[in-house]
Amino acid sequence: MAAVYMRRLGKELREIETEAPPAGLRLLKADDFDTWIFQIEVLGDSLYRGERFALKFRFDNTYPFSAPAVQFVVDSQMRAPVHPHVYTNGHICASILGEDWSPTLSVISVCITIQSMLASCKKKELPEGNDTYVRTAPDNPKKTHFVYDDDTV
Amino acid sequence: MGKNNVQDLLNNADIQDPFDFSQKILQDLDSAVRCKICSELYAAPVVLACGHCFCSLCARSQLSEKEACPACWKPATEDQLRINPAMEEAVIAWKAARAFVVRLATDDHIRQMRPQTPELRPTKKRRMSPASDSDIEMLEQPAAGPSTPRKPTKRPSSPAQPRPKSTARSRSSEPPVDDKLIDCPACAHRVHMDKINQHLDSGCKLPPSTVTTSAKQKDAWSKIFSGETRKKGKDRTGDDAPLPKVSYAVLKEKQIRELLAEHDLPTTGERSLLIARHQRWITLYNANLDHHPSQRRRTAELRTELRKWEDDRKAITKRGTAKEVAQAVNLTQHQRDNKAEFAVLVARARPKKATVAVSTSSGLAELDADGCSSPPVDKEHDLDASDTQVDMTIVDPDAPRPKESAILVE
Repeated sequence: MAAVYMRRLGKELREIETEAPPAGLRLLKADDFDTWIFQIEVLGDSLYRGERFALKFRFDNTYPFSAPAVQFVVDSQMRAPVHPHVYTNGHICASILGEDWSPTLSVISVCITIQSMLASCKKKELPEGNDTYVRTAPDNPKKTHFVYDDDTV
Repeated sequence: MGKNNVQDLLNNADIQDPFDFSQKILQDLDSAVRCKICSELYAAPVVLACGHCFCSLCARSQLSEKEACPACWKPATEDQLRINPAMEEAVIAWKAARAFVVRLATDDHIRQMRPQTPELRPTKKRRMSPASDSDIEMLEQPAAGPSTPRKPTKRPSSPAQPRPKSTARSRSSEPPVDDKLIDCPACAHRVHMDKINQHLDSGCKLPPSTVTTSAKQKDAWSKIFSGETRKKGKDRTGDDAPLPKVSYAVLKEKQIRELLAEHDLPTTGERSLLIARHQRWITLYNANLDHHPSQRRRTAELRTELRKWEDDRKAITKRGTAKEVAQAVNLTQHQRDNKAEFAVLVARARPKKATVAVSTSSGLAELDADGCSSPPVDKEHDLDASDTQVDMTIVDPDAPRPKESAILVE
């Protein structure tokens, strides 16, 4: 009998495969229960029209009691979106990935939140202190203690 | 990828989910009796103060992280949890009927999809009454159907029976009507009158399991002094009070070991591990009590589960994807790895005592920047005073989360 987190992720995956994921989202990789990658784009009128990003989820066996580690993929092909809550190393400052995470959320609901975070962006700019953060950031964004004080974007 | 392989897991028939049904209405029905945390059918459902329902173990695990309902964030605490016997009954009934409904639904779906085959069945009739086909199967089915034949066994139950669905899991091999069958007052299983004493003395073991005399003796006494011996109970499934929470901070390590020993749990390991183990035990134990007595697992099974949990916990630490829980362990490792550097920092800091904290933490912040995945900075600056790990390794999920590297974002 598989571990609880694998059973839960298995069910989420089955849902994604059975029902097509919401518009703008596409599952790129889910070969194991460590790392899943989604392609994400913002449909409709937004600053990110025509741009595609890859969102990486990392899980461990504390899922869903603690949030997955979620970040944009930054490599030779992919870039993180320019957004006041997204650092250039792909780390995202969003409260639901930290203190407001709830075990009733799911991979898809995180994707949708990120999608709407991008959709509602009014000005493409980097977060304050991006360079400092990127220089010192841990590999895992969950090890960063973000302070969430702007819920307008 | 071994057991981590997605396809292996998905092909595993053991995993059921709403998508076993192709009809939306049945998917919704199946989702309605599933916990929103683990997405399994509710096990020992409990309601929070706000009314949201979760498995007892899920709710307790979550509340130990954060005292709020995960669905609506209204404040919630473990002692406010109330069992939800109606939901439990619904889940048990649905479990019994589910395989049958899946079969019906699949047949129906296939029929709908099948191209028209007029020689077998006139199209018109099929369109008009898809239900009639199901009815035919229904009539054939009850003999094998899990729920129907139990009704007669259920009725002559004594008024003292705590919840009506208690016989749902009783041995179906028993003859349906036998007036010598009575409900066990402790576990509510149906037991032959001549065997009831033996059954009770055995701690409600069901036949065919045999009973040793020593176990008999012990449990007979524990029935009498149940208050006294409750915590020392062996494998009993009778009605028990939940275990109280413990303030570990005021206990010596030896006392924590004693607490563990009371439940026949391993007393090895560091203080943090002892506490984590005892806390998890209380959670597992209390969650088990939220099951109807007939559904409870035996204490031995809980111990096995605790052990499995501990193994998983170790696995996180190894993989280094740790959060607070595992950081406690990482910390000692980090301490060991960087002992030399700490020594240098301590030596440098010692002459000017007033600035100890500052210089040490900034020194460590640099280590952080070098990319070693180090534990929280805040925790560390008083580490070097002595080599012991006293408070730092206490794993207390209620404690505020340590800040690691504070980044201010507008």
